[in-house]
Amino acid sequence: MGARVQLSVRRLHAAIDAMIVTLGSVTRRVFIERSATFLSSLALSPRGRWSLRAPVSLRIGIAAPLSMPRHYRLGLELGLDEARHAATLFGGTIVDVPIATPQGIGGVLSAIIGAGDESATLAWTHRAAGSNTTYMNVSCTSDRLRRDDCSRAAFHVAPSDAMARDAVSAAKSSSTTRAESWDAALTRFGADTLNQRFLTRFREPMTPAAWNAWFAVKAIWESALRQKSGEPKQIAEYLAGDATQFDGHKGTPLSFRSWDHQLRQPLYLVGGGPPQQIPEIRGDESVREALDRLGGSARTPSCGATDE
Amino acid sequence: MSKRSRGLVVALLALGPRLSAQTGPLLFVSNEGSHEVSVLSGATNAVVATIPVGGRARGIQTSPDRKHVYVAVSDDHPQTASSADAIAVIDIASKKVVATYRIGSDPEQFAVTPDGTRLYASNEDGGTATAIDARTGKQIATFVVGIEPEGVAVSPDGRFVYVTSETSNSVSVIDARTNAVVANVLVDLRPRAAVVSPDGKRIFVTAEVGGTMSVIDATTHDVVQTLRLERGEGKPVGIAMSKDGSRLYVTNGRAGTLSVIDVAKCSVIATIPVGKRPWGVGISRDGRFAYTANGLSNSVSVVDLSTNKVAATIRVGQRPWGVAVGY
Repeated sequence: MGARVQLSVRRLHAAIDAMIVTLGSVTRRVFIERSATFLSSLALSPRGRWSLRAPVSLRIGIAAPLSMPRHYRLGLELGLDEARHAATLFGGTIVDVPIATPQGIGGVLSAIIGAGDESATLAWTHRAAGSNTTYMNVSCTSDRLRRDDCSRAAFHVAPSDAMARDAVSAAKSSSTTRAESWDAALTRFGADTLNQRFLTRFREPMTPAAWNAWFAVKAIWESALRQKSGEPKQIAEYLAGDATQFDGHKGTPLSFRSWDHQLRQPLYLVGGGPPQQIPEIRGDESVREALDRLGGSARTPSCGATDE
Repeated sequence: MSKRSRGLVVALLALGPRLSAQTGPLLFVSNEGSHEVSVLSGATNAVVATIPVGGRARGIQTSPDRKHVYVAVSDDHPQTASSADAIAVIDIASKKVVATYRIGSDPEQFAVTPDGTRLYASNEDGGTATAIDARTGKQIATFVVGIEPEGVAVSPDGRFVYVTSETSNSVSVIDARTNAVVANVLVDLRPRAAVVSPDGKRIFVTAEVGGTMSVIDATTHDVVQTLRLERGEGKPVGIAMSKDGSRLYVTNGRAGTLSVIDVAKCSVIATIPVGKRPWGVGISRDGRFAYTANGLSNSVSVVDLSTNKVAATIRVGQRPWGVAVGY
């Protein structure tokens, strides 16, 4: 596993980051192709104008990678690879920085991604807030983190317990049903292509954990690209922006709720037959209204109190 | 046969396409589910032939000389190139597949250059686009574009090729003269299809999840406008432009509608209900009719553009995907 993710390899030296990052997990042929594309993109456009946008330098902290369950790491790996592919097109570098403990947070980090339990998530979030960066929670479903212990520094990709409860109670049948953020059998809205990319790369199906981690990287990279900056303040502003939305291969635009930074997203009822997407979006409501029917009823005006 | 009657036959043969053109367009509809192409007569609004293509038929285009229709065919296993992954060449006169070009794995959409010499295709699972010789099927170049490439459009002068990438939310600009990617443009979420204005100055791109159409300036490669369609929730996919560049026609998959856009004003002037999940859209050469491929209705809607109403609905194969106007 460790050899595949190569999280430790890439922190060695800032000066060779770009080289390592570009070489990471790609074949020589692909590397040469991408380099050629990148170099060609540096050329003047036919009308005498530089076509390359300002390169974005992104440093993503990975919280406690050695204790991170395998599928989160696989999701991170695919997300980082895809972001690096895009970086060859748009310019820029993406460095992942393994951090063993919250106390180890140092230097400027665009954001941190972690898959801890409730107490670990609180500790990482607290430290991230102190370092003026963002913590992306991809695993912990605790409602407490979205309510009493809500922090402006935390963004939750993992669906909350409240969301899962609302989704399951909307189910029309079967008491064995559970609600997940992803399913390897999904096909619509490009879900088949994402599932295939994962399956081809790792020879196993994409789990909800893997999707959460993959999406966290995508959201951070896209924020940087749209903001033309890898600065943590810029990333956090974009993630929380009211007009901001992301595509996660779920067919509806995804966004973070302003009051608790929970990702609005459809869930999938699994456990009996093909996965069923919840909520169904009615003709008279917006996508956001529909998605807020999952765990979005209890707003938290005091969110951010724990940052102080 | 007398010399005179032989001459008459030759004259009739030569007039054949022109006579047909007078009686209405001939349309080719790719059916992803039933692995075939339905041929429709625009004069009678009826299916006149069905051509099996041996795989999921998706992107479909006519050659500029109107002699051939190209259709992208892939198997049910993306990520692996197989014998079913190809572009099939249909001879319009005989309505038969006359050649098959291998074009990497999972070809989805492609465009034909205005001089008819090249095809540019997106390889959905490879993060690449491929240029091939339209006469021999030989691969000329491969380009690294964004992840999950989809729509392809060529500028009217054939100089630039635009490839959308759904996961990367980007449009890559290929210089066909130097065979290099010269720019990448960020657009709205999940870009699908693209079309270039007749003067080559603007590129219009649908964004399925963003629910919008982005307008790209071809000189600066900046997005100069983003038009929201169907409250941003209609899932726009297919796009076609009138010959004079004054109107755009966009299919909204979820909304089941066709949006008519005034290009000069960049605003929607009509929204026409068609079948369920319309994706591909084609315009008759005389500009009188639009044809939408309704994937979940297994039908094609014929929209009269003088009244902006559906004039006919034609039953085709399963999961129709795209429409090409033969003549």
